[in-house]
Parts: sequence; C-alpha cells; structure tokens
Amino acid sequence: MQLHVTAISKSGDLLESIWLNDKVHSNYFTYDGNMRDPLKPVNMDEGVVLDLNNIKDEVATILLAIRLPDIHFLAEPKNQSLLKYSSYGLEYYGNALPISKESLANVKLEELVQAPENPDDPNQPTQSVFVFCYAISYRPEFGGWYLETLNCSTKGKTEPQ
Amino acid sequence: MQAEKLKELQAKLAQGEITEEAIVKAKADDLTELTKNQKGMLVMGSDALAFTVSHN
Repeated sequence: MQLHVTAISKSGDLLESIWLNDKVHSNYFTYDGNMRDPLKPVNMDEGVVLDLNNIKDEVATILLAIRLPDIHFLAEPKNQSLLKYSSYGLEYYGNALPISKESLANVKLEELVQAPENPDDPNQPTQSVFVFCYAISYRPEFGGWYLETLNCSTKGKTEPQ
Repeated sequence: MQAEKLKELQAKLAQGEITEEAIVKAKADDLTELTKNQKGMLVMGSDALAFTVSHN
C-alpha cells in the first residue's frame, strides 16, 4: 500500500504528483514513516503530514490517495485477510485526533479485478487499484481549507511485471 | 473544461471508473466542480493534518 499526494495550483497547474515514502522528498509535504506509538492513541503506521497553515501559497487543492498493488493477488480468498484490518484516514497530526477513518475491508476487491487481455500469456501484467480518498481545497469563500471525503476506488492500471 | 467533459468525469467518478491518470490531469477548478456535491467540512484549528494508513 502506497500513499499518493497530488498538489494543484490556483491556476490549475499540477505542482506535484508523488508517491511518498522515506526515500521520496516532497516540495510541499513531509512523510512520517513511524507513526505508531503504543503510548498514545495512534494506531496508524505511516502518513503524510499536511501543514495547511504553512503550506506554500501556490497550493490550492490537495488530492490524497492510496494505491493497492497487485489486486489479483489481494482479491484471492486466501489473501483477503491481508487487508482485513488495514485502513486509511485523516487525523490531526499533533494529537492523533481522528477526523476520518475508513477500513480497506470495505473495498470490494473482487469487483475491481479485470480479466487479462491475453489469458494465455505466462507473464501477466499486474493490476493496481487507486483509491481516491480525500480532496482538500482552499476555499476563500469559507476562509479556510475544505475537506471532502471521496472514497472512490478506481480500476487503476495494469503494469508489466 | 467543456461541460460535456466535466459531465463525463462526474459519471466516471460516481461509477468508480475514473482512472488515476484522469485524476492527476484534472485541473483544480474542475475538481472543485467535480466534488462540490460531496459531503465536506471546513478544516478547523491550527494543527497540521496527517493522511495516514495502517497496514494491518
């Protein structure tokens, strides 16, 4: 599972579209790969920190998504337990107060699996699924950042092995 | 963006058929239009937010 962040400018330009992890640096956001803390009510593993009060002025919209790799593997009944307790969410970074949390057990993987174009090909491409989670946009009419919960699973794309 | 194109994107989003490429190529104004009927909230407070995942 990978975290994806897209930053879009006021004029509609794509500023950054990035898979964040401990090796990838963002111009706008920071990555925290060590969030879980048994002494605090934090049970998430990793995250992208969005400091909305100090974010660069050119950012107007932020799209947050996750990618599930190899959906064929995950959709097999014997493997569905892998995501049983997995989730994504949005919370206040300072105190881990949750704003939203969604279980990935609700994603109907079997409905997203696409039949291969060439079933006889031994080197089948893998199909990933992109879950479009949240949109956060600056709305001057509201005087702040506006959060929309989207939770849309897409069919993603196939990638060569 | 033309109204027809926007309508097409809205339909695809509603059906879960919109692609990763379509999302990242969409413009900010289009996305505001695209998502304005979604349930939303104003983010309050001065703390930073974190978009998080739990692997299991």
